[in-house]
Amino acid sequence: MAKLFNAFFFKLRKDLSFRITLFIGIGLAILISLILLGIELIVNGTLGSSHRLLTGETMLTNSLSPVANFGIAIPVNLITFTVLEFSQGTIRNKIIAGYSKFKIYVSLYLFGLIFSLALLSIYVGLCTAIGSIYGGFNPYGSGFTSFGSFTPTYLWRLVLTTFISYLFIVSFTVFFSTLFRQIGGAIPVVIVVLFFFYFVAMIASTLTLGGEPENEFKTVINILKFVDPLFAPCGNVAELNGESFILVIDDLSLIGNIVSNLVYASIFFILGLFIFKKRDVK
Amino acid sequence: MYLIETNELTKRYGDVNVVDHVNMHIPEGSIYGFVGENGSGKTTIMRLLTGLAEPTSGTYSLFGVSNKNKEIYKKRANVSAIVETVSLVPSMTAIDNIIYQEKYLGIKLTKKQREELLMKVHLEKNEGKKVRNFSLGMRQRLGIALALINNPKILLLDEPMNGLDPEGIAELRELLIELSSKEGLTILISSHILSELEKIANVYGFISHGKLLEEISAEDLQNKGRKSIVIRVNDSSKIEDVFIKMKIKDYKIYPNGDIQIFDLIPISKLVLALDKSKIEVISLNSIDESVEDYYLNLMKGGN
Repeated sequence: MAKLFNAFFFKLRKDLSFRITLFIGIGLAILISLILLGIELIVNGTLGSSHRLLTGETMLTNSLSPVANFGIAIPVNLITFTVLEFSQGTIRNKIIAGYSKFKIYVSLYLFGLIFSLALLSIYVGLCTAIGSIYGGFNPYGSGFTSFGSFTPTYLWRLVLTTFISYLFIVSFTVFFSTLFRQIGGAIPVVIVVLFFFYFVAMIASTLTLGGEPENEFKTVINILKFVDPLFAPCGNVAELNGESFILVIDDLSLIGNIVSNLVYASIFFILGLFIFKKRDVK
Repeated sequence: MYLIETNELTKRYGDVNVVDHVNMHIPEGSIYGFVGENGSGKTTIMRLLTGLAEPTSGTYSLFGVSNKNKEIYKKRANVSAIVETVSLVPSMTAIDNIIYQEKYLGIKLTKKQREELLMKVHLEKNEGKKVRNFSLGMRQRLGIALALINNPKILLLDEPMNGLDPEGIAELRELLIELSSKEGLTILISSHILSELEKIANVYGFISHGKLLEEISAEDLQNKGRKSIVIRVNDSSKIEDVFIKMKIKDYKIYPNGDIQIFDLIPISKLVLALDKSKIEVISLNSIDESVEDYYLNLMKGGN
């Protein structure tokens, strides 16, 4: 399988859509920085004041989304890469060369996972670096977003759950790429489903903004933590901390994120492998 | 030894047997011309042999290893194929396509070896050109170069002459003959035009509507196309004595009992001589058709 990885990464380096994705990533990082600088200018009336919005920490939290901003560009690029393997017939060259379909599918998934996490790391790293260069990483001791402030625990849990979410996203993406074998079919389905999970998490989390959710909502939200694989990184659940709100990813969300991602990733991986093995390769 | 063998190989799509209980035998070092009309099942058989499709029933073996055996994956490393279309990455150059193939095959060619490979298919001047700018013939030639990267023992080519100009077809023929004779490569090459294969194939398989009609050596096929007399007798053991007496030298005895005589002799004289030797004639036919006629009759179910 190492040979397949080697080949996939070679092809990726030569791939135009990958270069475009990198370009989009750099552009987005600069754009978000400029937007934050603009807000800083409007709020403070000047740049470089004592309360900077553009910091490493704000850029880190802004860039850590498996769907919004750059997040969606990663599965789109992965779909393009995977579908082209089918449509250009290069996947059948690998079958002819003696690779079993199992090895090819596992390689595609693992490659997708490494590729996605690497691309996300590059983007998040770039955003954090830009923010840190301008305003330092965390000059005020605690982070602040439009939803409330957050703690270092929230921050590392956000990083962890965002990365874990790619277990599901990649499995789902490779599955639909294998199923449709065409970009036009796979991209809309993947985008719609990912945004569905994203908005469900966002809407559910707004129910908590007024304080403790009502009991029936609390039950629904607890269920969602295990059903929505993007709940933890996309739902800004806020808890009242004294007189202000503090963003949290509680233990249940963290466990739910791990469990739901493992379950969804396994289901789509097995389904995708089954379809790939059963269907003839054109 | 047969490098490729199929045993009642069948592929069904819906209610149609696209490949219908096919038993093929491809000898080592041969160039096997696989002939049949469009949609006869040639491509599907190649897809089955390369693992791109799974048989509905029946089996096949490569290098004596059955497709039911997991060892088949290792054996496939010695097989190269171009089935239907050439699989290339259009956004990459010819050289990058070669390197891409090297990566997953786990081999590393030197710059010189890559150039030599491209030289074999006359693409040395286009090594840095993106494949998307290649003509159909150039893509076909690059595909053949890619198929030769790992020095395969078996090469399967599905209608490789498509898209090539007459010069390209002649060059491809020469290349395949050279690979077969010098490197002992076993080649399965398909076409719906018999004349395309006549100059290179030494064994033929004729297929129609998914059924393999006949496997025949090039020599026997040529004989079928010569003016001759085909007889079948009750006792063929004494027939050679009759032929010696009649000074018949150019003849062939087939395993099915048919005896084909190419020397031009009067039929009445032959029958008389056989009668004298107490050999009973079961059937007698005079053949006067071309190879093309034979093939066309076969396709129509006439032979």
